[in-house]
Amino acid sequence: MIYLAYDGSINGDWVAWYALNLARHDAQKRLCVVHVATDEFEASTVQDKMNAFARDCERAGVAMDYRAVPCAGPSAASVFNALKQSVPADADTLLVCGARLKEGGGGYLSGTVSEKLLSDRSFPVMAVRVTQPGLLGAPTRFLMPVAGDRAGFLTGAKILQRFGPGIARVHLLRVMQLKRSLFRRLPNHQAEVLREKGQAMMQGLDDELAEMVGIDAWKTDVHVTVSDDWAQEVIIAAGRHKTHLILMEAARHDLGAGYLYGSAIEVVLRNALCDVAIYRGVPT
Amino acid sequence: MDGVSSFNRQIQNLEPDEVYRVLHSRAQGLSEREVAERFAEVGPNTLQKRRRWVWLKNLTRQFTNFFTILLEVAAAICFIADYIQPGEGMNVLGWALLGVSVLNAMFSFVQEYRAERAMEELQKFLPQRVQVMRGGREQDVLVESLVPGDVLTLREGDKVPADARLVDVQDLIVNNAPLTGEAHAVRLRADAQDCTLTESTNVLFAGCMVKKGRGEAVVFATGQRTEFGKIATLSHEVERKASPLERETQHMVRVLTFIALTMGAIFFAYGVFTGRSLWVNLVFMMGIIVANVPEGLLPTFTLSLAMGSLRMAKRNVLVKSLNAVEALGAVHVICTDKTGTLTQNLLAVTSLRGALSGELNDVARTTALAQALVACDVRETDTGFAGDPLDVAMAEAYRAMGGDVASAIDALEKGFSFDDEKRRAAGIAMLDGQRRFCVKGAWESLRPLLGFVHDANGQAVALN
Repeated sequence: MIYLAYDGSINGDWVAWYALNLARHDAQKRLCVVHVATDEFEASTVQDKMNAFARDCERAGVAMDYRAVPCAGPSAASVFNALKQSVPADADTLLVCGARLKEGGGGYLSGTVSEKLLSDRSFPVMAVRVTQPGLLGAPTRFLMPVAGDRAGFLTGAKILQRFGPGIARVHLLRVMQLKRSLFRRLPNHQAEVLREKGQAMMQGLDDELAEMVGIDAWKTDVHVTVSDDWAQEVIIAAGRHKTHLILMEAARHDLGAGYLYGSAIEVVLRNALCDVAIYRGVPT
Repeated sequence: MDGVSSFNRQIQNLEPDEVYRVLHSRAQGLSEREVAERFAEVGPNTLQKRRRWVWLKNLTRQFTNFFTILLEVAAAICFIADYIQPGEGMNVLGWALLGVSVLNAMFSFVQEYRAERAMEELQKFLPQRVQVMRGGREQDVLVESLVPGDVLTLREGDKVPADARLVDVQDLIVNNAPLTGEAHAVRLRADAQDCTLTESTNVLFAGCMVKKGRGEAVVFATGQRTEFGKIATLSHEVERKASPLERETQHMVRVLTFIALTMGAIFFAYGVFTGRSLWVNLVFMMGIIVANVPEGLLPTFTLSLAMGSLRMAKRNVLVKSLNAVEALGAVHVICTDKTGTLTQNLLAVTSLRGALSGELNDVARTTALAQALVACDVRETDTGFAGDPLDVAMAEAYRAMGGDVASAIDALEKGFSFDDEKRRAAGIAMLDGQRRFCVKGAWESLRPLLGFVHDANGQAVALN
């Protein structure tokens, strides 16, 4: 089942389209919206928005359940605890939440409720940064950076499956990362060897993904690139392929330490010109 | 084509009355509070990223590349040698080496700084101010303040400030050349379409210009998130890889450095072996190292590229980056967009011919152009004529022949804009005391309408 952590902001409204579209293609066709009531937005405003959203869900054939949860305090930890208690710890659940720029110039995930949800791993979480409200949460062109973590890839495929049969293109990207000093002196033939190594790692992955998601095999393809900056490569690849959504796993084990302003995930969230979804599944 | 099915509805797939709802807006526009909330979320509607200290970073980079460091170290060695053993002129060499490294770094910095300003040039495609509906009334606001959900009203001659979905149009024709390079203007509609965003004709794209008509649209993407912004940012963000010549130069510098250091060490060891004093040995070693530094290489390399740029400039090729000269020399095939890139999307009338009579005399040419202007949609602005390039070309030609374009435009009583299906435009005007209906279009579309044409003597000749 799909859960939506709704904060009442305009960004929350845009993220809600994603949750609705995922719920439309989920077997249960149910969406549970959880709003942790804080002082940031008036309850009446949130209720009005939810009434309108309920009508959209009805039109889409999705059964919506809205829960306003009281919060012990305004801190991110309190909101996180309230959300955690409202969502069942289940591998088949997917919680959709937003990745908003923190006030005061912080990062999109660093220190946020979304970061805590991703780190906790009680249930699969997808934090979305929406830059294109016009997509209405219905991307058709995807970019999936693949780092080699099999479990993470499977979680991503499961999320992708929930985007339904409208998927037009999925590009799998493998970045063979080198240190800057090595990369700058890398001869062409060695770069080619690395690319071939990357291609071998990705062998058959596109066909496997197509089968799992239920789309034609020609809609998926694999790209391997050698670089000293994978975040930049992801952004450039997304631009070249006219990607609507970058679907990438937060594979790091030490998320708390990793989500600094300069971290690669933050760089992608900050600089990508398309929507970005950061996901993480439960431990296997 | 990535067909958009009913599974995934995006902004271009919606009926106009749904657009307000999904973008959480309304025909009366957003309230000030909503604007403030959205502005905090998406930031200003501008293509420029505020990258503070980027110039300092670039300047530092110029002084820290391997060859410049080699020159700087060589200069330092010269100054040390001069301090140990004054009067040998080593300080002069030191200053010369330092001068070469500084001059070269500044030269490269200025080149890159110019490229950085390219984004500012692209910003000029967006207007300064725009008319929006906010709080139930039309306001004139700064383009930077636009947010998703703002309701725009655009008229003839306006530049589109952000990507916006049309909800109402009146004879709206837009020139998308800045985005697509396509010279022909596009007629836009407001109804739902089953295609991708970039293929749809119910969306206004930032940077493009309204050529005719009027439209009301709801903004859904601003700044770098617009299609124009994405292209601009991508071209800006892609990091330039070292060119083959740069890589070769770097390799050669490393080899020379290795040779210089090895020879210095060998001569130092020889001096120790033959019993020379430590200071004399050190100065001698430094002299060997500095002598092997190819201090002339960097300025020669830069100057030869600069000379190449100058020679290309004489052939009307503008070179913004010196390294591009060398990279261009290694290119076999160039694939480029034409209109607006190699050409300026400007047309000119070179000859006027009668259907039967051939070349026309001056009076007939002026009359033909005056009649053609009746079927044109052109207007005069501070910077010249504005409108379709073909119409502008005819207005320019009419003026060049001494015609009064303003009077010709005033004489127009009724205009019929270009129809894509009929492939013709028309107009009614009073010319020489007579009301005339003039048609302009492709010959294949006009031929079926013609019963006769005039020959050189003004006689009507029937067409079979």
